[in-house]
Amino acid sequence: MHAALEEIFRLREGRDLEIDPAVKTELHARFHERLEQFLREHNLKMSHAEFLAATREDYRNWRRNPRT
Amino acid sequence: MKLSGMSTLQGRLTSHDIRAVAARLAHPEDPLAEWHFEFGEWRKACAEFQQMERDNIVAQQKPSALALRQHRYVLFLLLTHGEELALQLMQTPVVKESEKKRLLEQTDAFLGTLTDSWHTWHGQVLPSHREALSGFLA
Repeated sequence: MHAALEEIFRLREGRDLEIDPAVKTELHARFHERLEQFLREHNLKMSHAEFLAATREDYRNWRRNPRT
Repeated sequence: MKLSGMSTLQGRLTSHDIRAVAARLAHPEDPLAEWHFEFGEWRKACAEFQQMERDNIVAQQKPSALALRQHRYVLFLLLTHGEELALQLMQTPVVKESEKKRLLEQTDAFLGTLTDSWHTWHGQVLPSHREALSGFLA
């Protein structure tokens, strides 16, 4: 898996599991900023929502075994 | 007067109700005391939802139709309650706008997390998007 995608998955997992509201606010913004940067850098024509749906199984597999 | 629907007169207050009243009475000068209590309870429910998602969706090779529907049901409940909290906050007088903005941003971070969960597990997957991402997923 591309290092940038793994970074995005890690940011997303960290954001999801965070319960402190101030920290979560920061992590939520950081996750979407990084995802936007990735989509722009690689000229990928899809929304954040479409990216999340398209990578569903990859995210599931990564969560089940994060080191692969 | 019909009393059957008045749970307070029938001793049917839940522990949650009582804690909300206690929060309000403990901080009578704070117009957001009860809101903060509800926000805290909602965040706890969001954390429990993450646990449910991890066990019933992420950990499963193929989540059952029941698990997916339960996931969707709880998502809707949490999204609805979060939006109610946001509306209450916006409509609460005598709270500084800067404080409202700060708390709304925090509420939106939780709502955004829930919305992302919706798109991830219930959104439509387009083959063209999978193809566009294939070089990054190998």
